[in-house]
Amino acid sequence: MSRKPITTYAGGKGPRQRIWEAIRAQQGEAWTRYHIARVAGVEDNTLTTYVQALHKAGVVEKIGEAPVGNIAAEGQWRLARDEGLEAPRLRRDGSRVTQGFAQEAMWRTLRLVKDDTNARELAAHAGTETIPVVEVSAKDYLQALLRAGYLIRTREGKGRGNGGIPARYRLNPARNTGPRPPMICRTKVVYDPNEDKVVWAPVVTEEDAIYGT
Amino acid sequence: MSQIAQIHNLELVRTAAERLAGRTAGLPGMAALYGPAGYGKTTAALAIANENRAYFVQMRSAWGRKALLEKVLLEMGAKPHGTIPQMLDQVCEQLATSGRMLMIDEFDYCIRNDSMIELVRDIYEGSQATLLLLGEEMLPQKLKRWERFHSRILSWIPAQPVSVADAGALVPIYCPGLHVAGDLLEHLVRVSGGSVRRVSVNLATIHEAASVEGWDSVDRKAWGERPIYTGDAPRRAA
Repeated sequence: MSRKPITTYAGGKGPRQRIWEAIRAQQGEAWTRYHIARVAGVEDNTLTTYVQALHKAGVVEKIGEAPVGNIAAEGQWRLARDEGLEAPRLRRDGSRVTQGFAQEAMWRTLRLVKDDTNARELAAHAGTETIPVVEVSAKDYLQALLRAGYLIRTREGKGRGNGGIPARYRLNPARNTGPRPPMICRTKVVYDPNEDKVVWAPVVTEEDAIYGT
Repeated sequence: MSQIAQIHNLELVRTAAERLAGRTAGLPGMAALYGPAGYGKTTAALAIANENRAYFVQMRSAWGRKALLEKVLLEMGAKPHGTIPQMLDQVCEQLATSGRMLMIDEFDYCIRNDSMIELVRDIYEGSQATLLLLGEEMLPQKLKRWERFHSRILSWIPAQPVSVADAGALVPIYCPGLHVAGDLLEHLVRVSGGSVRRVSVNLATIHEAASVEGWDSVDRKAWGERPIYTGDAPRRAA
C-alpha cells in the first residue's frame, strides 16, 4: 500500500486550504463531509459552504448516499477536477474570486523587476486589462511593504502631484519571502502568508482604544 | 487612474500565449521569446504572467537541475523536498492540474549542458503544460543542437526594438502630465539602440528635469544639449 507523496503547500493555511488538501489526499476516492471535517479540523459550517461552492463550480461531485446506522444517510463525494495545490478561490455560487490578485501581481512584479520602481510604474507593470491596478493602491501597497521592511527606498520623493518626483523603491533581496503576496489586513497589520506570521503591526496606545485612531 | 503600456512586444507575447493555450492536441506547447538585452522581454513576459498567473522563474548561472526544480516548486507555493525525479513529478503534476503557464527567464543558462535541456523537456512532456522561454538573440540557433527540443517549440518570437509608438505609450507612465514632442521621442528612440529600458530611463530623466524647470511640454530644442543615456561607454575627453 504505497501512496505517492502529496506535494505540500508552504506557509500559512486557512480552513479552505486545509479542506482542499484533505480532499486531494483522498486521491480520487469517495469521501464524506464528516471525514473531511475531521481531517481538516474545521467547523462543519465552513466545510458545508466550501463543498457547496466546489460543487457549483464542478470541482467535486456527489456520487451517492451511504447509510449511517439504520435510518440516516450521508452524502458520498468525489473530486471531479483536481486544480492543483492551491485551494480554488470560489464564492458561494461557484464563481471565481479575483480579489487579492492585484496585490499578487504587484508582488510578482516587485520580485522580478531588477530596477527600482515608483508607484506609477508599478501600477503600469502590474495592472492588466481584467485586473487594473490604480496608482493609489500601488502607493499604499509600497508604503505598507516599506514599513514592514520588504523594500529599500532608493530615492526620497519630492513634492506632490504631477510636478513632484515620487519616491523609488526596490525589493530588499533578503525579504523575498516567497510567491504569496504579503497582505495588508483591515487593521493595517501586514501578514506574510509565506512565513505565516504578522510582520508588522501598528503601535497602539490606551488612548487609541478610548478615542479611536 | 491606471496606465498599462501596450508596447509592441507585449502584444507579441500575448498572441503567442493565446496561441499556446488554444493549440489543438498534438501541436507543440512551447514558445521562445528572444532578443538583445534591454528589449523589454522580461517586462513583456511579466505583464502576461500577471494576466494569467503564470509561474515565472529567472534562471541563475549557478543553478543545476535540483536548484531549478526547487525554485519552480517554491514559485508554486510548494515545499520542495525529495529527490530530483520526485520533484520533477511534483512540478509536472502541479502544472498539469493547475493549467498555469511556466515561464523561464535567462534560459541561456540552460543551454550550457544537455541535462538541463533534457530536464526542461521532461517538465514539458510530463505536464503537457505551456512553457515560455526567454533568452538572448542567438537562442534559436543554439537550440538547434537539441533537435527533439527544438521541434517542440510552436512559436519563435523575436523581440522587437522599441518604436516611436512604444515610446509614446511610455510617456504617460514615466512623464505624467508632461507633453513630450514627437521630435524628442524620435531622437530618444534613435539613440536608444532599440532598447526599451534606455527610453524609459531617459523619459524619467526628462520628467525630473521638467519638474525642476517647470516645463509643461518639452521638445528637442528645449532639451538642447542635455545628456541622454545611450548606454555607450564614455568617450575619451577631447
